[in-house]
Amino acid sequence: MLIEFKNETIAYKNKVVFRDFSLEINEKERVALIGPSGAGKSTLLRAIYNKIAEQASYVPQDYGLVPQISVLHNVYMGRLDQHSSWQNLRTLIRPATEIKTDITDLLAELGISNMLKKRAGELSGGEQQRVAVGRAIYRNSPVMIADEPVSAVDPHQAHSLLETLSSHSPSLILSLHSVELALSHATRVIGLRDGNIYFDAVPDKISSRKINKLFSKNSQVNTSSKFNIK
Amino acid sequence: MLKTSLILLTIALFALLAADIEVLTLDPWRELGRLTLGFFTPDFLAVWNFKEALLNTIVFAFCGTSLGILLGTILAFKFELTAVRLFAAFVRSIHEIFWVLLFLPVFGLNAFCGVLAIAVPYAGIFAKVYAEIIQESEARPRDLVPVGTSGVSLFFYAVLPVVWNDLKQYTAYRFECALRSSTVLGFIGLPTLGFHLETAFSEGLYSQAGALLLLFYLLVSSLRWWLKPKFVVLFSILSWSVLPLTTQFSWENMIRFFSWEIVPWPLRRDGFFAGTGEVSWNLNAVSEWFVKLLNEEIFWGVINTLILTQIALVGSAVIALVLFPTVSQHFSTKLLRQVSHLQLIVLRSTPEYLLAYIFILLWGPSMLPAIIAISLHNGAILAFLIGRHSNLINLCHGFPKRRLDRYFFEILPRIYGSFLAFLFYRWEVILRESAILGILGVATLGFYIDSGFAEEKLDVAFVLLLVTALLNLTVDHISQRTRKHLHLSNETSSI
Amino acid sequence: MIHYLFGQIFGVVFYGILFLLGQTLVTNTALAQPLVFTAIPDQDTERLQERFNKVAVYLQEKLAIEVIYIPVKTYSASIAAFKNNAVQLAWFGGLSGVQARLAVPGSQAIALGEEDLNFVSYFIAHTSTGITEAATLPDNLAGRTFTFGSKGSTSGRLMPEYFLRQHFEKTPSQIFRRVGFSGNHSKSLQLVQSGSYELGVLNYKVWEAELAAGKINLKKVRIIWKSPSYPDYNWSIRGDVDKIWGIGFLEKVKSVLLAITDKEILQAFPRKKFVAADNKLFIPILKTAQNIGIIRK
Repeated sequence: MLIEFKNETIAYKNKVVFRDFSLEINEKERVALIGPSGAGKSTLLRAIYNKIAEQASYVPQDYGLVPQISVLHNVYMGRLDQHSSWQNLRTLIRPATEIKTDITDLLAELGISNMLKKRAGELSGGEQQRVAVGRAIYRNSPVMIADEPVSAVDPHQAHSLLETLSSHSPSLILSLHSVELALSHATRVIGLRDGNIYFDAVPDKISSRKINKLFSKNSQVNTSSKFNIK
Repeated sequence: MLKTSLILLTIALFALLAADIEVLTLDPWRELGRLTLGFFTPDFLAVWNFKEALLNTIVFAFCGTSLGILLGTILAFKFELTAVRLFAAFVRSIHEIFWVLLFLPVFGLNAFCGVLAIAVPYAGIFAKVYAEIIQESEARPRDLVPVGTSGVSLFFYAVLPVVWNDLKQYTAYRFECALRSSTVLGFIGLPTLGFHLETAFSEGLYSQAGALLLLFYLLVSSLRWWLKPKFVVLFSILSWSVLPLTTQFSWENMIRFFSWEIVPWPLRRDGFFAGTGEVSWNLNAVSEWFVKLLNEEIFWGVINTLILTQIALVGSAVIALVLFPTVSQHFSTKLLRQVSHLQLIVLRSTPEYLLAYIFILLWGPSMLPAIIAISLHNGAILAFLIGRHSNLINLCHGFPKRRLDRYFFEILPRIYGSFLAFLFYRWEVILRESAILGILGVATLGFYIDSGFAEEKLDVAFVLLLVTALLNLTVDHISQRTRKHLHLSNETSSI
Repeated sequence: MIHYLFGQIFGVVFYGILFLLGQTLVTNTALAQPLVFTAIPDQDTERLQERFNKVAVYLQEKLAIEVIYIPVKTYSASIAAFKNNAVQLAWFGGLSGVQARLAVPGSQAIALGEEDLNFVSYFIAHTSTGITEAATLPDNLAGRTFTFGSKGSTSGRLMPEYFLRQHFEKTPSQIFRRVGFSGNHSKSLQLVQSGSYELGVLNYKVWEAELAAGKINLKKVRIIWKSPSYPDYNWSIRGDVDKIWGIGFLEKVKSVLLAITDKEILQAFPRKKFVAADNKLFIPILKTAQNIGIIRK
C-alpha cells in the first residue's frame, strides 16, 4: 500500500478540514480528486505529499517556481537532493551538457522547447504551469502528486499534458477542475465535499446524478463548477 | 493614533520647557553671511589637495560596507538565535563615531579603526535587515524543494534568487549611508573628507568648506552611475588593497584594553599605583564608584538625551508634515516638486552631525542647533517618504478644491498611519543622533562619553556607552510595541 | 542607451583614477619603519602643519631616518597613538604628557621649551562684560558663560580649572551659568571675541601669536587675569625606541631637539629654545590633575 490515512485529522492553516478521515491508495493507481472549490482537495494533496515526500513529486496549484532564475534551473530543482551541493552550485553557474540535453528533451515533450534559458518569471501562466510539471517529472519519482496541473492550458493541450504526466509516473494522484478530464484519465475518482469523501469509485461506476449532486446541492457552489460538468 | 500623537506632542512640549535652547552668540547671523558667501564661491582649486581624503572616504566606506556585509550575512543565517539577535541589536545601537572612540585606544587612529567603526554597526544592521528580507520573501519555492536537499543548495536556488533584488537595493542604500558615516568620521580625526571639512569650518575657510561639501554631494549623487553590481567585487578588492594599514595589529593593546583599561577604576587603583597592574576585588568601592557615576553623569546624560530626542522627534514630524505637500502631486506643480525634491535630497544627504556642527558654529552649543539639525535631516527624509506615499493615492472626483481642505480631509487622514510608522522607525535613529551630538558640546550622553575618552577614563566611557546602547534598545522596543499596538505596517524597516 | 554608455564610461574612468591614486598610496607605505611623531591639536591646523613639517624635515636630516608628522584632531587621539606605538615621539601638553607617559611605562619627557618651565594661562573676557584686568580672579565672573579649550588641555583646562576651584571653592559648572569646551586655544579666543562666550581661558603663547598676527580685536576681547606659572608643553618619547633604531637613539633624539637653533623652527612654536626635561618635572601637573579628578587617585 502506498498511502494510508486512518481516522486522521488534517488541518490547513490551523483550521481542521478533514476530521476522522480514512483513505487508502495503492501503488500504480491513478487517482483524481474532484469537488467544488473549498472541498479540501489541495489540503488533502498536501497531506498526501507530506506523508511520502521522499518518493513523490509535487506540482502545486500556484506552481511555486523561482521567477528570477531560468527555466532550466527551475526544472533542475526537481533533483536538488540527488546531487551534491557542489554539483548544484556548478549547475547554477554552468550546467553540464547532459543536464542541458535531458531538460531540453523534457521541455520539448511539454511543448515549451525554446524556453530553456528564459527566466521563469517572464513566462505566461500556461508556460509556467508546464515548467512546474516539468520540474515534477524531472524529479523522476515513483509517485506524482499534482494539484490542478492543467488549469492554465487550453482543453486539448490539457489532454496531452496529462498523458505526458501519467506516462512518466506509475502512480498518479491529482486534483482536477474538469470532471471530464478526471473521468477519462483516472482509474479512480474521489469526490470530495466539505472535508468528506462523497464518493470513491472507478469512473465507470460514477453516474452523472452523483456528480451533479456533488457540485450543485450546496447552495454555495459557484456557477463555474456547474459549467464544467456538462 | 491621535492619542499617541498628542502624547508625543505633550512630552515634547514639557521637554522644551526643560531644554536648554538659548542662542549663545551675540550676533547669530554674522557667520551665516560669510558661510553663504563661501558656498557660492567654492574654492575648487583647493579640491586637488583633498584627493587623498576623497579616496579614503570611498575606500573606508567600501571596506567598511564589505566587511559589514560579510559579518552581517553570517549573523543573518543564525538570526533565529536570541543571542545573535541581541548581539546585532547591541552593535547597531552604538553610533559609528562612538565605535571609533572605542576602537581608538585599541587600534590607534588609523584606517583599520575607521573601517571597523563602520563595519561593526553595519554588520548588526545587515544581519537584521537581511534576515527580515529573507523571512518576508516568497516562501513557496523553499517549501517545494525536494526533501533532503542540502542547506547550501536550498539557499542558492530557492532563497538567494528570490531576495537578490531587495538585498541589492538595500545594500546600495547602505553604501550611501556608509559614505556619510565615513565622511563624518573625519570630524574626529580619520583622514576622510570630514577631517578637512572640520578644519575649514572651524577656521572660517568657508570657500574651502563649500568646495568640500559640493564634492561630497557630487560623490553621493553620482553613486547610481558608478556603483554597478558588476564592479562591486572588483572595487572591494581594490579598496582593501589600497587601504593604508600601516600599523601592525597588537594583541598587547587588545588585552590591555579589555583586561585593564575598561575595568572600573576602584578595582585597578591599587595595581595602578603599585605599578603591578593587578586587579583587586573591592566590590564596595565599585558600587560607590557606580552610584557616583550614576548621579553625576548617567542621570543627566540620559535625561538630556531623552529631552533632545523627544523634541527632535516632534520637530521632524512637524517639518515632514509641512514639507511633504511640496513634493506631492496633490498640492504642487511639477516644477515646484522638482525644486523641493532637490532640496530634500540635499537635506537628507547632509549628515546631521555636519548640520549640527554648522548650527553650533552659528548659535553656540545649546540644544537649539541640535534640535534643528536633527529635525531638518529626519524631517526631510520623512517628507520624501510620505510625499512619495501620497502620490500613490488616487483622489476620486469631487475632492475638495481648496488645498487646505484637501490636506486635512483627504490626504492627511490617508497617509497618517504610514507617517506614524515611518516616524516610529526614525525614533531610535534620532536617539542615536541625539546621543552623538554630545560630542559637539550639547550635554547629552555623548558629552560625557567624549569626556571619558578625553580624560583617559575608559572604564567610565565604557559604562556610558553601555547605558547609551541600553537606552537605544529600550526605545527600539517601545517603538516596536507602539507600532504593533497601533497596527502600523511593518514593511518600512529598510529606511 | 546613451545613458547606459555614459554610465559605463563614467565607471571606467572613475575606477581608473581611483586605481592610480591607490597605487601611489601603496608605494608610499611600503618603506622601512620611519619615526612617526604627532602633536596635540591645540590650535589651528594650518599653523600646526607649518610648525611640525619644519620639525620633521629637521629631524629627518639630523637622525638620517625617515621622519613623518601625522596630524590628529583630538588630544585623546594623540595619547592613543603614543600608547599604541603608532607614534614614537610626541609634542604633548603638560597633562596629556603625564597621561601618555603613565600609559606607556618607560617613556620619558625629554625636552621642553624654555617658556614651558613657567607657562601661564590668560583668562579673557568679551569687553561687553565690563570686566577689567585684576591681580586676582575677579569675583564678578560668577554666573556668566565660560569656555575652556580642549577637555584634555593643561593651559586651557586643567590649570585654569584648578585656579578657579581654588579661588571660588566651587566646581566650574557651579561658578558659571554655562561651561563649554571649545576644542583648542584659537577657538576659545574666537568664541569670546565673537561673544559666543562671555569669558574664556587660553594659553598665553597662543594669545601672543594671535595678537602679533593681528587676529585679536582689543576692542572686543581683553585679558582679565594672568595665572601663576606651571610646567607645560614637552617632547615625550617612548622608552622602546632604542630597540627599533639602536641603543642611544633616545639620547640622540633628545640632543637633536635641544640643539635646535634654527630661528624659523623655534619661531613656529614659538619658543626661544628647548631645554632638557624629565618626568619628575611634571609631578605638580599630576598632583593637580588628581586634585580636580581628571586623573584619578
